[in-house]
Amino acid sequence: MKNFYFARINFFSEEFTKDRDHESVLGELKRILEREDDIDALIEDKKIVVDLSVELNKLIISAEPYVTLLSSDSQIQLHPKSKYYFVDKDLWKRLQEDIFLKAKSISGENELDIQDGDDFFELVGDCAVLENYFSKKLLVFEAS
Amino acid sequence: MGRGYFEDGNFIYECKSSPDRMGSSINQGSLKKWISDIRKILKSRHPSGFRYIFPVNRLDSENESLLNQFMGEFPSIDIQYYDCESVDRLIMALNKVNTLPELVEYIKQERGAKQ
Repeated sequence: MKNFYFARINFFSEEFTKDRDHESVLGELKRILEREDDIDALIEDKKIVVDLSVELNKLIISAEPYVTLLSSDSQIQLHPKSKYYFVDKDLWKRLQEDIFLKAKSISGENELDIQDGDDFFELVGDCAVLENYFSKKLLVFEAS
Repeated sequence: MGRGYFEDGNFIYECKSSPDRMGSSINQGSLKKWISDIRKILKSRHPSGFRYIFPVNRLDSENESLLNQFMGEFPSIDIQYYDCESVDRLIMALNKVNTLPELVEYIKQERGAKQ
């Protein structure tokens, strides 16, 4: 089973994305990457995106409910050969709802295992990290 | 395996693979990310054992170094990991006794997807 691993776009500045919407930022990124071939080696070697795993202390998101988004004709994939996908407004709403439902669950299926205030605040901190990069239109992810 | 891992008694098992490098080492960057998720689970759930299974990859010295460091962080948890050769031996045994069907199915899917 795969999980989501978030990263931030390092290629654009906040100044660049400030006056653009999510669609426009994704379009720009696709346009820049479209001529490249060995895409993920380029993305990782040139640090076009930077992994956020070490900044997230609690959050684990299973990729299973999002499998249709990860299809080969996905509109949010950075490049047809890339493993990276852009978090647009629609996906962000789904993630918000997904995290909320997991956080409030108190059954044995509570994957986030929120049992006390420390757990809750760790989760809130993770959400703030993601929200920060989403609002700057710089949030991407891969599933592995 | 709907949740990506399952608990059987007080043990957690997880399968992971770098399918684009079948028969070769695990992608080191991916392994770091996966371990960061497992660390969260072990810290909150405190299982007595954790089994990390890499059914279609071998482990190189860098992979093993990362895994051994991870094991060292949790001395009270019985952690073991298995590469594809260990898993092949396990599958042969499992096919004989017809048990752990989810694991067998997962490995068949992973191998089938790349053939």
